[in-house]
Amino acid sequence: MQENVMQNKENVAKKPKKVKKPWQRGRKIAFWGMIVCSILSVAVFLIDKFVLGTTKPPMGDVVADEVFPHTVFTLFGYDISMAVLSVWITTFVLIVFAIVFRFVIFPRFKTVPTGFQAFVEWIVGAFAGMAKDNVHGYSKALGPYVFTAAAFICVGTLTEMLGIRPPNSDVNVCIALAICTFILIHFYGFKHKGPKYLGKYKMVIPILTDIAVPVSMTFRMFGSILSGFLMMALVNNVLQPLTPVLPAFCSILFTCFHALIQSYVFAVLSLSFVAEAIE
Amino acid sequence: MTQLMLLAETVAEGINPLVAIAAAIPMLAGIGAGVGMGIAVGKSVEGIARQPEAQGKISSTLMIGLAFIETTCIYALFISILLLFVV
Repeated sequence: MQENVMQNKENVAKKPKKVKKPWQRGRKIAFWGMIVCSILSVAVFLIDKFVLGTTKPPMGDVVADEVFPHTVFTLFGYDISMAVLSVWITTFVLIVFAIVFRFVIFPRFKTVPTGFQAFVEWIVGAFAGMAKDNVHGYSKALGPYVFTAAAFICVGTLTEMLGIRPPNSDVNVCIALAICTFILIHFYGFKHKGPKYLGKYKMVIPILTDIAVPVSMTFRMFGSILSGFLMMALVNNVLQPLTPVLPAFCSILFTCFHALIQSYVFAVLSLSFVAEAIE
Repeated sequence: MTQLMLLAETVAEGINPLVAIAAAIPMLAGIGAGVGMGIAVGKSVEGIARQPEAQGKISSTLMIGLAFIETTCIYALFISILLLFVV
């Protein structure tokens, strides 16, 4: 009898199972991912340095080739440069995504959002909330415009990772976006206030301020995205010993960071200027 | 002074050394931009510490302010690039 009781007690008293928390798997993946990436980077660097030959063209020519716009092909008598091609590619990608989303993905949305649907709802809600906060009455038209411009800038600059020159690295594209905002600012000013809107130009200074708005928007976008592109061209071609590995790290800073920040800043500034013209 | 001018004339190819020096001077604008951004972020962090429920508005205002400061530095960078690659 006593032996049986002893065996039952041994069977019952097991160790309690450890409950795994959901973020520990993410930490494990991140840790091992970093170790694998470091080993791969060192391997690629060593292979390029000792196995492959080092015959690279002089640095000034390559950088100057990439910076100046040169024509890719001519269409109906117009010279088409890389930046125009990049605008077409970005627009095509955005339109295809919008059509696929509207007719395939959108009808499958559930009441309780998960994953991609939660992300889309968050972004649209953020932009619509921003428009409603700043511009009370006209947020139905301005919210979509601002979201479109921000998406164009963001997707356009992210194509730089594929080696394509981003569309905003050409001054003409930036001027076009700034002129759209300029027209919208004055259109909504007239719509809200009527002809009295011109009364604020009694002094000379508001004229200068209003001209400075599109000029500063243009050069902010152009300068930051062109400088990112130039830095990536330099890192790709000039820093000879570190060429295989460094662009992967630098592209996060120069490309992704600039894309997100410039699109967000363009959206917020457009809304702020329209709000200032309305009040 | 005359030595500098003689040096600028005798350079046959490549970058004119005076242009190279002139392309470096606008980037001193980075000093002002850096100091200004530091002060702005410091004050905004103080504001958040005083009143944590106003964090959304303070962050948005901070982002707009940093964009304006960065634009000044980008103007200087643009002039620098213009000098190096066009002149």
